[in-house]
Amino acid sequence: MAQFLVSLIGGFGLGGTYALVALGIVLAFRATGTFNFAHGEFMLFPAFLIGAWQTSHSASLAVSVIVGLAIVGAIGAAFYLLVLQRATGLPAFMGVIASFGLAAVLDGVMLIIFGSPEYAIHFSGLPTGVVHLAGARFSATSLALTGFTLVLAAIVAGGLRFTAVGRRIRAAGQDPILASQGGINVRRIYMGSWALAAVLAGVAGIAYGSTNIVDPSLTSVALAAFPAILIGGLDSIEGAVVGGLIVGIFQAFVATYLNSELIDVLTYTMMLVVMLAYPQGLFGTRRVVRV
Amino acid sequence: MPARELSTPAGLSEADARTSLTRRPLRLARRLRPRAAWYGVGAMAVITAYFTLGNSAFSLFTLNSCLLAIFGAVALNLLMGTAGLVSIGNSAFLAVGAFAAVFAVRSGIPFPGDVAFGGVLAGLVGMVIGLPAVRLRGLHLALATLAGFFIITYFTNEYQSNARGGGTGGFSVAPLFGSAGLTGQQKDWAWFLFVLVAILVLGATRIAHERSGRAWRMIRDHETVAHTLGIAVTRYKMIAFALSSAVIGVEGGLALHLSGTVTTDQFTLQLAITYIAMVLIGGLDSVAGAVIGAVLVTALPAIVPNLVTGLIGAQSATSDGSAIAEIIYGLLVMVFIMSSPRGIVGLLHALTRVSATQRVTGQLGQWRRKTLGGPIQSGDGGGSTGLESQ
Amino acid sequence: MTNPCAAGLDEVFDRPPDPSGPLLTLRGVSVSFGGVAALSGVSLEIGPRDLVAIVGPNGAGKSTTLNAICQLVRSSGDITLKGQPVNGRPAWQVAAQGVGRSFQDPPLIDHYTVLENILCGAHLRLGYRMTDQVFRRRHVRRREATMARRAEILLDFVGLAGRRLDEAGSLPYGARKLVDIARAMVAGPQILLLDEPSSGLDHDERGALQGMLCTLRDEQRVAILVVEHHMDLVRAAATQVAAMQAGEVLMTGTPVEVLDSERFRSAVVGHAGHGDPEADGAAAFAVREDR
Repeated sequence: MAQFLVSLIGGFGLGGTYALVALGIVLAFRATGTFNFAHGEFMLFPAFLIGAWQTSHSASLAVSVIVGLAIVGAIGAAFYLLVLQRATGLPAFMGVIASFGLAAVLDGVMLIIFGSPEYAIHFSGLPTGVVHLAGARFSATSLALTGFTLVLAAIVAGGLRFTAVGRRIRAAGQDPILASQGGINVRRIYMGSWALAAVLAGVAGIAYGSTNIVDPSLTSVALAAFPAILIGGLDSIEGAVVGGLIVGIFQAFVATYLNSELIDVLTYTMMLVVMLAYPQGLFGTRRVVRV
Repeated sequence: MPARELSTPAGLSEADARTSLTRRPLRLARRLRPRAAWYGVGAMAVITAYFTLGNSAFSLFTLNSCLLAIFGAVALNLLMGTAGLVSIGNSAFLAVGAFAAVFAVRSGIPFPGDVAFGGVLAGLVGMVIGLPAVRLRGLHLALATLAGFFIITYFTNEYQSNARGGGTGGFSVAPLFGSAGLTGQQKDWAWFLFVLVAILVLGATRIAHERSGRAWRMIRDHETVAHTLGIAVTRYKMIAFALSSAVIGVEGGLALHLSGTVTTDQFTLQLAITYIAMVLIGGLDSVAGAVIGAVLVTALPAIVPNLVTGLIGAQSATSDGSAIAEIIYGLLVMVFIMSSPRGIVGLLHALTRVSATQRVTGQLGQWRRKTLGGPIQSGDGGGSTGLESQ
Repeated sequence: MTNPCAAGLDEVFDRPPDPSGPLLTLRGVSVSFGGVAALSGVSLEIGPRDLVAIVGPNGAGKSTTLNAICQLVRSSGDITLKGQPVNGRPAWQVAAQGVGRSFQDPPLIDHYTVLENILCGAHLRLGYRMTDQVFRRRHVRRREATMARRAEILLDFVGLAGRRLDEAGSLPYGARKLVDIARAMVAGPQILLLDEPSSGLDHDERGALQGMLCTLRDEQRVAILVVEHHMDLVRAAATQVAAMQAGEVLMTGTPVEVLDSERFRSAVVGHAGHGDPEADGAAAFAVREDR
C-alpha cells in the first residue's frame, strides 16, 4: 500500500512537471502548428542559471529565477519572430526542424557557458523534512513542488479558458484569419504564446531540478511531454494537463513495479498505440483530409 | 493582329512566352542530371586522392568520417526529402547496424558479411517501423519515429548489457586494415569508403528520378492524388523506409570497423538531429545536397577549433570545438529555413537562374524578331535548350 | 477558336474501351461523412463513347461521385467498371483499370517541369522496376522515350507545347489545369474523370477546352465523365447530362432535355446566390438561350 501511494504521489509530481511542459508545447503548437523540440533546453537553461549563481553566490534566488525565466521567454519570442514567421508557407515539419536547430544552438551555448555540471537547487522558503502519510514517507519539498506545479498548470489552463485574454489566445490559435478580423493582433499573441511556453518550460525545469538533480540530461524530460500531448489531444490545453498527469503516473508505476529502464520504451509504446487508435487523443479535434 | 495571334501557343500571352524563355537555361542542369552524379563522384575521387597523398592521419580520419556520414545523409535525404517521410529517430538504425554486426562477428561471420547482415537487419527493422508509419503523416509520423528510436535503443541497450563480454564499455572488434599502421589504415579506409560512396551516390541518384522518384514526390506532395495515378503508396513508403534504414545500418556496421568500438551511448537523439541538419543544410530532395551537407556538418568540429584559434587565438577553442560546431550548424539550419529551405543546392540553383536570366535578356530582341515574325515552332525540339539562340 | 491538334491521340489512347455495353455503372452508391449523406443512392451509366456531364448546384455531391469512383472515399453500393466490380478495391487498382482523374485544384509538383509532371501520370504504363533504373538503363530509357513522346502529343493537344520545360510552380492557373488534364490522359485511360476543368479559366481558355473535349468525344477512344458548371460548354460537348442535387441524381438525358427542363432550372435557380456565381451566370445564360 505504501509503495502504491508513493508511486501515485510521485507520479503526480512528475505529472505536474509534464503538464507544465505539455501546456507550453500545446500553446506553441496552436500558434504555429509545429512542435518545439527545443523545450528541453528551455527547461534546462533557467535551472542551470540558478544552479550556477547559487553556487557562486552571484545573485539571490529570486533574481536568478526572474532572469532565467526572462531569458528563455525572450528566446522563445525571438524564435517565433525570426524563424517561424518566415516559415509560414512551409510544411509543418520545417518548423520542427527549425526547433532542432534552436536546440542545437542552445545546447552548444549552454555547454560553453556552463560546461557539464551537476547542480542541486535549494529553495529556502520551501518546507523541508519528511512527511508521513498512510505509512509512507514523502519529502516535504517534493510534495510542495508537486502541489505548486499542479496548481500552476490548473491556473494557466483555467486562465486560458475563462479569462478574456485566454479566449483571445485560443481564438488566435484556432482560426487566425477570423481572429484577426475580430480585432485580435494574432502575431503578438503568437509571440506571447511562445514566450509563455518557454517560461512554463523554465518553471517546470526549475521545479523538476529542485527535487532531482540539474544536469544536461534534464532536457530529455521534455521528451516525455510529447506522449502526454498525444494522449491528451494535440491541440487541447486541458488535454495537455490531463495527458501530463497520465504519463507521470504511468511512469511512476513503471519505475516502481517494473524496471526503470523500461520507462521510456513503454511511455513511447503507449504513445504509439494511442496515435494509431485515437489519433486525436482524448480531447483533441479530428482532422479530415478532403480532396 | 493575325500575325501576333499565330505566334504564341494557344492560351498564352506574349509575356508568358517570354517568361518561358528565361526559364529555359535552368533546365540545362536537368539534362545533365544523371551525368552530374558522375561529376560529383569524380570530384570526390580527386578529394580522396588529395588527402591520401598527404600524411595527416587526423585529416584522413575526418575524411573517412565525412564519407561515412554521406551514407546516412543520402539515405535520410531519400526518406525525408524525396519521399517526404519525416524520421527523427534515424540514429537508432546506426545502432542496429553496429550491434547486429557485432553479433554477426561473434557468431563467426567476418567482414564484410557482418556489415551486410547489419544492413539487412536494419532494413527489416525499418520496415517494421514503417508499418505504422504509412498511416501517419507529418508531426504524427515524426513522433512515431521518435517512439521507434526509444524502442530500438532499449533493445540495443539490453543486448549490450546482457551479452557476454558486454557492459557499459560496449564492444570492440579488431579494426579493419589494422596491419598498415595508423595512417596507412586510414588511407585504405578512404579508398574503400570512396568506392562504396560512389556506388551509393550513383544508385541513389538513379532511383531518385524517373518512375520511382516521381512516385515518391507525388506521395510527398499530394498523397491522395498519388493513388489515382496508380502509385502503390504503401509499397513505396515501405521501400523508402527499408532502403534508408538498410543504408544507415550499413553505415553503422562500417563505423564499427573503422573505430573498433561501439557503445549505446553513441547513438543519441542529438546524433539523429545532426543528420537531419546535414540533409537540410545541403538541400532537401537532392543527393548532391546530402553529400554537401554531410561533409559540411561532419567537418565542422574538425575545422572550427583551428578557425576560432586563428580568429581569436583562444586556447579553449579546442575543447569547445564541438560545442561551437553545434551552434554553427544549428544556426545554419535556422537560417536556411528562414531564407532558402532548399539548402545550399537551392541557393546555387537560384544563383545560376539569376545569371542565366541576365544573359538571356540581351537575346530578347533577337527572339522577338524571330518568333513574332512567323509561325510558332513546336517547343524547342528534342530537349535542347534556349542557349542555342546565342 | 483554334482547333486543338488531334494528331497522335490514337497513339496515346491505344487501348480504347470495348464499344459494346456500358463502361462504367454506378448503382445505389451512397457516401456519408460523419452522419451527413453526401451521396444517396446515385445511379449512373456511362457508355464507352459517352461524354457525360454532371451538373448541379454546389454541395450536390458531384465531386464526391468522382471520388467514390476513384475509391478516394468509401461508399456503399455497386460500382462496375468494364463488367468488374471495383467498389472496395484500393484506389491504385482502379487507376490501373483505366481510370484517369483530374482535380479542381491542380495538384502538381511545383519544382518539376511541365513535362515531368505529365510523366507522373505515366507511372503505370512505364512499368519498369527500381532495380531496372539502376541496372537496365537502356530499357528504362526506351520506356521513358515512349511515354515522353505521348506526353509531347498531349502537350500539343492542350496547347502547352512552348511550356514543356517550364517549372510548374511558375505557371498561371489555367496552364496548371491543363497540365493536370494532360497528366490524367497520358496513361491512355479508357475513362477520364474531369472535376470542373473549366473553373478558373478565362473565356478563350474555356473555348480551347471545349474544343479539346469535343475532339476527344469525336475520336471515340475514351469515355469522359466531367463535372461542370458552365452550361454552354456542357451543351456543346456532352452527349448525356446528369443533374444532381443534394446527393441525388435528379434526372439524366441529353443536354437539351436536362438543361431546359423545369425541374433542373428550378433546382439551380433555387440555389441562386448561395455560392457559385459561375453557375448562376451560366443558369441565367441557359435561360436566356432558348429565347
